[in-house]
Amino acid sequence: MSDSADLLAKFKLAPLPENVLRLGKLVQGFNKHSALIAEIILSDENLSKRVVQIATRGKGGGTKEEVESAVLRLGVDLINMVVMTELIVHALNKTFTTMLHSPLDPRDEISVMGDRVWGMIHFKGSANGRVMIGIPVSAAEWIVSQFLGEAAPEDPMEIVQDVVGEMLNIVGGNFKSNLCDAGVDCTLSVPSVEIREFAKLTIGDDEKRQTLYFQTDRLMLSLDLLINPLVSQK
Amino acid sequence: MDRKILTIDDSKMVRMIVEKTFAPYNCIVTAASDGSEGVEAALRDKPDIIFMDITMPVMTGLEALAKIRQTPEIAATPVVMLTAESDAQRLGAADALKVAGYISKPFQGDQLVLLTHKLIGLTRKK
Ligand SMILES: [Mg+2]
Repeated sequence: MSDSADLLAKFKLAPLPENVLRLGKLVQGFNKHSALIAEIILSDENLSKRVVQIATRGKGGGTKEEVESAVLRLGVDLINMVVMTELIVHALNKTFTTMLHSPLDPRDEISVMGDRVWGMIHFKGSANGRVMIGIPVSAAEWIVSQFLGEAAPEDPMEIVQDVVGEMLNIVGGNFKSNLCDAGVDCTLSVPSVEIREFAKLTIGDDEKRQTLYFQTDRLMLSLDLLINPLVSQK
Repeated sequence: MDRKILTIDDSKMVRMIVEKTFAPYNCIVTAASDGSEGVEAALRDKPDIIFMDITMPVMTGLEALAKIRQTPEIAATPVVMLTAESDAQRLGAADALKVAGYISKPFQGDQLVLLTHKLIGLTRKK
């Protein structure tokens, strides 16, 4: 079998972005020395800043010393969460820019009234967790019209759950492929989708949760990443 | 002559996007919603090209592709994977089963048209 770069070239698929490759190395390096983790984080300016900000509650910058002490202070589980978050945001952005030509802006919070379409997907294997996405019903209807134009059914609600499920599948599939290429093998479940005002979510004792909010000029959405500690750590 | 295109995907949205994408061309698009239905549809319709998802209930796209390659009447059909799963392992498995192309989701309709035209030729409706 030819190696991954050859196959990407053969099928004219885009090579993995530098930051995803770097994050992949990071995931593989979790069991190694914290100095190596710090070194990989330092090679990405945004990631350095984010790690330090989480460790210092927004007060730090991204110098070498700050990153090294942040890595020690946060420990592997939290760094793992930061890395996974970076990968899932990358997948979400790629999906929105390619399919909806609509870049996402991160927000500290969003205010949504009424029902939302909630989609959930599980990943299992060397990494275990869940990704949940929440999109207001009106925004999901807009997405249907963007995707299908005149071909959209007269009542977009007929297909709203399918559309959110497939978007989550695409985001989750890209995320999972990045993890696999980083040596963290896992499989993805078929998404489950429901429409309700608030998410129905029970969080496990071991699970860590990160909620992110985004806005575009047409919609708002929330994304939750719930992860269990990496299996290899146990 | 009309080209026959089969889309195998558990998402109705993707099946509808494929239909919409090829509407301006001389072709007939049929659809199946899992791998097992897809193999049956391929045997029945003898499509000129198949677009195949991977993550589907009942039978995955890679299993369906293997089945197609083992079935003499349809073994030579060009199959293009259309999937969000494009890690080295999946790419390698699809390559070993002689896929004609691999389009990674998220995708745009133009990518489907360009590849289809290259593989089997397409003409626009008048
Ligand atoms: Mg699917």
